[in-house]
Amino acid sequence: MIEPMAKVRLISPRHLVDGVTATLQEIGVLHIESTPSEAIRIPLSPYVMDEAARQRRVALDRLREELRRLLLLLPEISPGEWRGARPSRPELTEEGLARLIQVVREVGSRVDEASARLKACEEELALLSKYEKALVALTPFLSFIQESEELDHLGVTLEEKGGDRHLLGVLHEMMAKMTHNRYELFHARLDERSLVVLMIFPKAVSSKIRSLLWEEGITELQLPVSVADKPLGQALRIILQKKAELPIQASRHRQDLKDLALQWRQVLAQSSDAVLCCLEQIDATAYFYQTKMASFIYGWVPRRSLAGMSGRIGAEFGGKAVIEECPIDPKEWRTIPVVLRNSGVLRPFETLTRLIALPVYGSIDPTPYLAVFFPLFYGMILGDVGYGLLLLAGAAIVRRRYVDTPIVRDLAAIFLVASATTVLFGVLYGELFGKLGEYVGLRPSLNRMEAFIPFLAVSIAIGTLHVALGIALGAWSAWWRGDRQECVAKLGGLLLVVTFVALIASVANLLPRTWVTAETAVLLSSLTIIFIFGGVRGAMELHNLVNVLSYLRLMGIGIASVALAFAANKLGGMVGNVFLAVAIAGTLHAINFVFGILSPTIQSLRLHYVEFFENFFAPGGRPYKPFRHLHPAPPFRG
Amino acid sequence: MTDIGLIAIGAGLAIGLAALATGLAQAKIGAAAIGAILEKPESFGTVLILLVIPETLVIFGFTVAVLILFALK
Repeated sequence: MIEPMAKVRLISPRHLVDGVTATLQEIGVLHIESTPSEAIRIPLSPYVMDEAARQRRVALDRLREELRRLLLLLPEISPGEWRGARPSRPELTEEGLARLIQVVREVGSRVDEASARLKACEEELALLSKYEKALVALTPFLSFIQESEELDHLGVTLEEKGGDRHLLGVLHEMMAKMTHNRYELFHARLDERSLVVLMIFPKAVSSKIRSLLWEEGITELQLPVSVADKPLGQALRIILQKKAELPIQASRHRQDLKDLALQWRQVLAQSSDAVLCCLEQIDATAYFYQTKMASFIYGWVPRRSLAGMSGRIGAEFGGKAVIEECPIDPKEWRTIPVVLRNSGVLRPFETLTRLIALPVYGSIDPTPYLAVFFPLFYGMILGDVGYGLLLLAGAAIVRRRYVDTPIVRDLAAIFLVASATTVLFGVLYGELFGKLGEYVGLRPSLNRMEAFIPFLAVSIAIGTLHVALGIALGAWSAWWRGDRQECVAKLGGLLLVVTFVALIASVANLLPRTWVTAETAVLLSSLTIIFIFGGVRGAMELHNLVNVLSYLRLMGIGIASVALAFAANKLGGMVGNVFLAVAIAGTLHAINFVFGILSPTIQSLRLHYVEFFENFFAPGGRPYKPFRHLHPAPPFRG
Repeated sequence: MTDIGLIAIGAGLAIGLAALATGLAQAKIGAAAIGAILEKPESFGTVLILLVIPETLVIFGFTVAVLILFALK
C-alpha cells in the first residue's frame, strides 16, 4: 500500500533555525518541500543566512575538501589493524571547528611530507626503470671502466634500421682509424633491433670521436638528469646503487604513511562525517522561509511518524517550535512523496514495482497483486520439480550471501516464492527435468506436451481473470478520483472482456451454445456503455481483448521450456555411453535452466507491466527522500 | 503432397513468419534500448516493456500453429 502522508509546517523563532534543522536531520522523517503551494500563493521571504553562517559554510566546505584529500592519501586500514579506542565525533561549535581546522592542518602537513617523499621515490624508480635494459646490458662491462687520466669511455646505442647490421663494423673501422687501433669496444644486445656499445679510447681523441658520432647520427646513451654530468661508469654505479636503495626507502615512507593512517584515519573519517552532516544542515536552511521574528519550513511526513516527530520537537524546544498539519491543495496530489509500505512476504515485491516506476500518491500500489500473480505465472511457465528445487537452492544461497545488499536479497526472496510455485506446478504437470518424473512416480494431472487445447483454455481463463482484475482496479481508482464517467466506461470494459471470452468459449463448446445470443447482446451493450461514457478514450478498452490473448504466452513459453527439457533427455538417451549421456543431458538442462530463470521472469513481468498495469497503474510518483544524514561514517572496526 | 504435410507446412509458416517478424522488431528496439539504458539506467523497466512487446506476435504465431495442428488434423 501507499503510506498516507501529512503535509506539515514547522514554525520556530528565527534564532532557533540551526537547532531545529539539526533536530530534523536527527529525526530523519521530514521530506522537505522546496516549492510549497503556499509560497506560490502568498509571497514568502526565503530565509537568508547571516554573514557568520556564510563564513562558517565556506570554512566547512574547505575543511571537507581537505579531509577528503587526506583520506585519499592515507592508506586504508584493514579491520584487524586498528587497535585504538573509537574516536569521538567532534562537536563543530565555533571553538570545535577552529580546533579541528588546526588539527587537520598539522596532520595534513605530516601526511603531505610523507606522501611527497614516497612520490619522489616512486617517480625516481619509474625513471630508472626506463634505463633497466641498458643497465643490465652494460653491467658485465663495468669492471673494464676505470677512471684514468689517459683513457675516456662512452656509451652509445645503435639502431639497426632496415636490416642494416653493419653499424658495428662501421664503428670499429672509425675507431681504428681515429685511435690507430688503441681502443676497445664492448657491445650487448638491448633488443632485436638495437645494441648498446661501450667504447674505451684515449682522452686525446675524445672530442673528435664525439663530434664524429654526432655527424654520423649515432646517439650517446642518455642518462637521468641527476647523473648526466657524471662519467658513464660512475653514473651507472650510482644508478645501480639507487635501484637497490630506492625500494627500501619507498617501503619506509609507505610505513610512515601507514603509521599516520593508523593514528589518524578514523579520526579524520569521523571529522569528515561531522563536517558533511553540518553542511547538509546549513544547506537545508535554504528551504526555510522567514518573517521578522519567525522562521518556518514545509514538508511531508508519513502520517504514522507525525506524532513522534511532533513530540520530539516539542520536547527539544519546549513549545518554542511547533509542527502544524496543513491542508493539502488538490493540485499538490501528484507531488506528494510516495512511500510503499508492504509487510512480510509482500515487501520484496516492491522491487518489481519500482523497476517500472513509483505509483503516484493516491493511486493503487500494485505490489500485493504482483506478489500473488508473478510467482503464479512463473510457476505456470517453468513448472518443473527439478528446476524448481535448483532455483530454490540457488535463491536460498544468494539470499544468505547477500543479506546486506537489499536489492539482491529482495530478488532472492522473490525467486524463493517463485521456486515454490515452480515445484507445485511441476507436480501438477508431472515433470522432473522433463520426462524423468515418470521414473520417480510423478503422474501428470495436466500433460503440457499433449493437452494443448485445455492448457490454452486455462491460459485464456487466467488472462481474463488478471485483465478483469486490472480493469476493476482501474474502475475503483476512477471512482476514488471522482471521475464517474471513466468508472462506468471501465465497468463497461470489464463486461466486454468477460462476455467476449464467454462468447468464444460458447462457440468452442466449452460453455453452452445456447448462451451465444445472450452473450452477443451483453457484448453489444458493453460496447455502447464504453463509447457513451468513455468517448474516444473508450476505444482503448477494446485493447483489453488483445491483452487477454497475450496470456497465451503462459502456455507457449511453458511448452517451449518443457520441449527443450525433453530434447535434452532424448539426446542424452541416444548416446550409448552412460557418462556421455549424462554430460549431454546435463549441459542441455543447464542451458534450459538458465533460460528457465530469464524467460519466465521477463514474460511474467511483461504480463504485469503491459497487460495488467495498463488499466489502473499511474506511474510518476515522487520518491520520498527524508532529510537525514546521507553519508554515515564507515562502520568502526575496532 | 498429403494433407498432413500441408498442415505441417502451414503450422511451420505460422510460427516461422511470426518469429521472423518478432526478431526484426526486437533487433531495432534492442539496439535503441541499449542506448537508452546507457544514457538513463533508470529507464530499464520501461525499455524492458518496449523490448518484449513484439513477442506477442510469436506467441500468436505459436497459438495459430497449435490450432492448425490440433484442430485440422
